[in-house]
Amino acid sequence: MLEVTSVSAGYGALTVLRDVSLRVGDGEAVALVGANGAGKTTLVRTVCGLLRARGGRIVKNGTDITATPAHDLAKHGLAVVLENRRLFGELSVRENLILAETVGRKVRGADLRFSWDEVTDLFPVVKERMASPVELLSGGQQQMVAIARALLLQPDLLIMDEPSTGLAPKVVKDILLVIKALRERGMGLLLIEQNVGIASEITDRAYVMSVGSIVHEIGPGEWQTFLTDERLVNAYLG
Amino acid sequence: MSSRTLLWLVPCLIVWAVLPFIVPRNIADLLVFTGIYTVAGLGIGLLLGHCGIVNLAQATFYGLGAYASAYCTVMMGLPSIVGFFAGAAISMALAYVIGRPILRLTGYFLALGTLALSAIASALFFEWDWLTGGTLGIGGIPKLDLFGFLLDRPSRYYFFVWIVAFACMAVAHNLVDSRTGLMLRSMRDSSTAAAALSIDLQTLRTKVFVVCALFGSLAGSLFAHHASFVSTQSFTVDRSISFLLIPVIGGATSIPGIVVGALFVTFLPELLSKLGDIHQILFGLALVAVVVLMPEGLVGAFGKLRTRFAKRGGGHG
Repeated sequence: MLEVTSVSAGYGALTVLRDVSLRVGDGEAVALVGANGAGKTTLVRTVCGLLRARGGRIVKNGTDITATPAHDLAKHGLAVVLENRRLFGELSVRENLILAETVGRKVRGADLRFSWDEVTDLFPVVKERMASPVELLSGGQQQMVAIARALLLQPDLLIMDEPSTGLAPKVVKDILLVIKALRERGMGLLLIEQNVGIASEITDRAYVMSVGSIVHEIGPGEWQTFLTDERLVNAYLG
Repeated sequence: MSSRTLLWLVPCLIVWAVLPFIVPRNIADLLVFTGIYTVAGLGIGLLLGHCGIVNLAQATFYGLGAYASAYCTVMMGLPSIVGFFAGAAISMALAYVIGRPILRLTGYFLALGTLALSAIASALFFEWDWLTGGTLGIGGIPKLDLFGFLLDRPSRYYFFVWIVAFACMAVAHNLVDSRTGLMLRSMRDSSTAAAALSIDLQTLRTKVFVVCALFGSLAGSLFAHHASFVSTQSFTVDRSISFLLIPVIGGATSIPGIVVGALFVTFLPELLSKLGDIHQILFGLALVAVVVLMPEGLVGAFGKLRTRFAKRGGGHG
């Protein structure tokens, strides 16, 4: 379980996040939606230890990880797929995965949640292009590699920042299928997404973010009500 | 090993083996220095080429290795091997202790941090004359004796120095080729993405800094037993800059590039000195030309040229 309580964060003199609180239960899929510049990516960076929180608490499975550096993230069962994939373009697909596997094995020992074979079976494209430098892959293939790499860190909660950005609808559909398969295996998910249609398809509930704060909560079964309420959508998502 | 590799490796080895016997003594001496500088440059190449860190402190570790060898053999009468180990241990411990805080810095600040370390160490080598002999230095450092075979001439010492250099090259190659090497490449590609992948960048940088210090110290010990005399003049900030030039000129990510860079730094000043007073200006111009025209180093530029010719040849075929 991930609990973010009253977190504030920013860059230099600029405060971006103000008093942000959210919760993702075990095996739950939660979306964080909001317009461009709402502070969604800043929240991801703060939760992942890439940006130091200025206030509040971040707790993962009962452990306070507010001041935990990014390199200790995997120990707490967290993995992140950053916006724009952030793969290592010069390295091959295999080398990208080996990096994650090395860290994942260090964290979990022999008790792996996802073995190499399971992960590569989940992504046939990844298996086919093992020797290719990542920079030669299409955007969709790169996204698959990014998710595969994150899984080899053996997380119980996956944070995905804008996984559909810049991808063709067919590719997005394939990625959603993979995410659904992961959910069936009990993987928790915090999905950061601008596209509420995609978010509503694979998450149980959501938080709406605007100007660095959570301004609305969409509860279980309330997605449809939110999406059909033009006033709410326009007010929060622009 | 492929037959193509053997095709160039065997002649290279033959040339390497006969070289000290066919060249004059002063050239053999320069070849020994090339080997020593290769060892020192390998560490800086690892830091610069694989971590993006500019290390201006290599003369510190070079000095520690040299003084450890000098002190252990001359002042304490211990076997030479003790000096090598003492220098390596002290250098690696210092690199670890100093590296943790310094390597938190990035970019210019990190380069300035290492420069400060070099300046402080240089001042201490001068001030602690009870230990280092100050400007008078420590003389009478014995030549190495390898199972009764005295390495008292450049043509003999040459083989020992280059075997150490080849061993260091093998260590550097294995490091780059290992999972640690993958982590280094990922860090160079994007440190944010590497951190998000739970790679401990600070520990990784420190590890490479410690390896760099080890190479620097070994080079220092080799120097001490070759020159038989060490003094503060050999371990100034200028020396650190010379060491940094090795990977910059040859190519920071390639091991042959380090050897080429070491050849450039040792041979070119010697060749230019025959031209009289303007030799330093000419050396400076040569440096600027290489850095401006070949930013990936001499070996990188050669590789590009080869690819271009191969393409042109392919086009005609």
